[in-house]
Amino acid sequence: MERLRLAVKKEGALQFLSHLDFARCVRYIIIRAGLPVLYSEGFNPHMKLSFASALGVGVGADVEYLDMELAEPVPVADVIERMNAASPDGFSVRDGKYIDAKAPKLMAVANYAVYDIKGPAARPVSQDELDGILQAFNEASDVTYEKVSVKKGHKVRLIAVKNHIVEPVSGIVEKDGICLRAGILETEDGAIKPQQLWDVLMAQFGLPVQADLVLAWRRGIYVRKNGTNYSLFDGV
Amino acid sequence: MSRTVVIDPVLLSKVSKPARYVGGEWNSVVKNHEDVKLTVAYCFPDVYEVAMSHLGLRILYALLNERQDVAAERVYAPWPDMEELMRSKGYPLFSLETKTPVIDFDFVGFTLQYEMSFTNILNMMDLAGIPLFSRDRGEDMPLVVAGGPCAYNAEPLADYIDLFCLGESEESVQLLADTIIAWKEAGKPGGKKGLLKQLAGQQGNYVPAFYEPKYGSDGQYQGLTVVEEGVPAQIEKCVVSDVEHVYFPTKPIVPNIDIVHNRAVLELFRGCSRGCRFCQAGMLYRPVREKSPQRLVQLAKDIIKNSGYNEISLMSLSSADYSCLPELVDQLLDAFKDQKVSVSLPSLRIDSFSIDIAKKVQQVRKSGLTLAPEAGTQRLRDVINKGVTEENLMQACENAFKNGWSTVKLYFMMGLPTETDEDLAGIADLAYKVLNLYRQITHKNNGKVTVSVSSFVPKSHTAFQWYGQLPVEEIQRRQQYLKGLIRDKHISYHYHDAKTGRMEATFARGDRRMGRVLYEAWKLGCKFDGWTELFDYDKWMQAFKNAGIDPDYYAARTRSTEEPLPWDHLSDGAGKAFLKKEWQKAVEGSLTHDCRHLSCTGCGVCPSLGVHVKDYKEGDSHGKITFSC
Repeated sequence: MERLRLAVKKEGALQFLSHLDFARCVRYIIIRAGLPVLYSEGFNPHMKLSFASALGVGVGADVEYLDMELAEPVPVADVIERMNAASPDGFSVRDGKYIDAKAPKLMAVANYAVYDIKGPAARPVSQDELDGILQAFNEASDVTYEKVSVKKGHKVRLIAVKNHIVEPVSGIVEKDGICLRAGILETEDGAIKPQQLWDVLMAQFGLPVQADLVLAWRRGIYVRKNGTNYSLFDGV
Repeated sequence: MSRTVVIDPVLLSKVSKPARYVGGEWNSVVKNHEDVKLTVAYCFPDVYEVAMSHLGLRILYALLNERQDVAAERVYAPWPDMEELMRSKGYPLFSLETKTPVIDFDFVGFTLQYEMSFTNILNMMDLAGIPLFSRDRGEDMPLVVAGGPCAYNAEPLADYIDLFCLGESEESVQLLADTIIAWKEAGKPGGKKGLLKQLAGQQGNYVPAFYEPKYGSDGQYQGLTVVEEGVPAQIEKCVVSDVEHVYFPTKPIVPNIDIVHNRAVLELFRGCSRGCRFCQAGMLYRPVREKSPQRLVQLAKDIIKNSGYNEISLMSLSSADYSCLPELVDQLLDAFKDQKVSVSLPSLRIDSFSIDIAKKVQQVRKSGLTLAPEAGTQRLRDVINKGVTEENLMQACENAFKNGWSTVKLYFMMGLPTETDEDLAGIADLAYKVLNLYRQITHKNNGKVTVSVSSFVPKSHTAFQWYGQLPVEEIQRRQQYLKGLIRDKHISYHYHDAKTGRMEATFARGDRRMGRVLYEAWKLGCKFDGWTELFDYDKWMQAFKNAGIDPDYYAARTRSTEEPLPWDHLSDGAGKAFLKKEWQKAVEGSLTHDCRHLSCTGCGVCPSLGVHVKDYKEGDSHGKITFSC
């Protein structure tokens, strides 16, 4: 068994897929590419394919990683070429590397994601004002977010935002809105969503935006250890 | 330069399932409009997941896109949340491929699959900015065309559609495209009317503006008058005589989101001549014409290779009737044995043989079996010419239970002509018999029988086209009566909303005046009427009131066989005399055999359209003597 790790891009039409739909699309691409992919045993065989994260509806990604198990090795360049030739608009394979079959699952190691978080401004805002708001946030030692669970009977949980935002948030004023750049760390308590950071900045720091009107774009996903971000190809 | 509609992604991400509106699927075809001579927007008046599951439009889409000079694109009805966004921000209805506003296409084609989608057609035209009424559309507006089964009773939509196309379009759509291109290149002689006049002379084409309905002083429909010189009084459907070689797409669009039928589809044959008297499809798609197993296996291989699908569904009106089914299934299973591709058979015949095939295709997971006895007693099954017996059903179930199935779903209809409470009690009896059979065979008590009962809607072009539908209250009484007879927790009972059935019946047998009701209903906000959660019966009743029309005139009235019918001019090739005879035989409870295997029964389709039954086991039936009674 060969374990191949690929770095792929999710954009365009695929940006609007849920994780399950995206995963199905990728399975079709792998089948059309004719790769010798392995399946689980049993009555209902599943393709041996796993992802680093579950990207939500509307969230595009410059890079997402996936692992698949192949019955025999196929040169990485061939895999990339065959998959890209069988891909719909919005998907492409950027890079790949065979990794140790026993390496931990992507989902278990990928713990740091960098996003662009973008939405229209509620009123005209200057770069200085935005910088001021972000500075206030970055300097605040304790920021909490009230997460209301829809599933668990509207139970409210307090999330310590600064446990997840460990690097300063930056931002620029663009002609059609505000674009923030933020890294989000996943801890044993989970993570926060880009939209939740947007809400915190709006509600607690006066970022002049609308809560609902926001889209996140993932710029990168890493293994973060001792303050350094490593690529998921590096096998840290 | 063609315009495009750009939807702000931030806003789009707020609607449910935004991927419905972005296109970009594998095998979808994007062309530059500057490079083609004709642009076609194929519209399905329902949401993406339903629309994308429809084979007919996929065939026409792929077929027209094979041509260098045509760009065919898809347009589906936006779900109400998306509609709200589009209306509030001023986004017009646009195509999935190039995001071109629908109003900018040369040709806008709607498929008419079920009556309860009609309000969506009006709504889509309105969202596109296209005037709803044909008479209000100027020369700069697209040609609005419609086809599909509901085109056989076109009258309720006659005021809105420029051209209806009856029958199978794989061949005729080429002529249609050629005609429009030639007309455009010649400088549009005679304007749109000139084009329609020319089209009206071609087989299958109905231009409603060239005909005027007459009504008596009592409001009774009296027939249509031809008001344009040189157009035919009778429109005959188009039919493909060589189904073996007719175009079938092998590069199906693979949707990015899950849809209702998300699998590859193989069409085994066209038509079904079992002759169930309630069934409109059984009349509209005659005669039976099969593809050969060799051709089907080749198509299947290509489709799987080009799509990546892991399931292929064998589709037809009654797939288990395919003469070479065992061979075909063996060949397909063999062809795909290393590829994790499964074969599925959506419609099963009620007999033991059919279960053997189902066994073969469902080797691992035994999902439920679905069988359709349609009526609860032999008497009523004979009335509808269903041609199955209780013995057939029991044998099929016995075979299934012995082979590991534990769930059987039985489909029935309620409100059929001559139906009594005894026939309904027969439904409950059958359900109990099937469940007891399971207990007897397996000695287990985990069997499950689902009884699903829909309410009968009389349809045009069938033997029951004269029969009046029962009132809603009576259907509801019967539904409750049957409910009271089913008292076993292993039998579940489902029934359809009687009110939806009544609305369907008004359109199914409506005349041109129903167009007014449709307009009123649309103005009151009716849309997606086929969706239980969006159907609003009170609004529909208001619409009838506003239009001054009594729904029972269309739905509930049993008509005389001598009365002119609003679809008399739209022919599927079968004669009215044949239907009258079938109606008479129904009342007597006498059966009519299937002409696929035995002699011609005289429906008239073959002689009037110059086509032949093609069944590989029965041999070449060109020698069969066919007639029209």
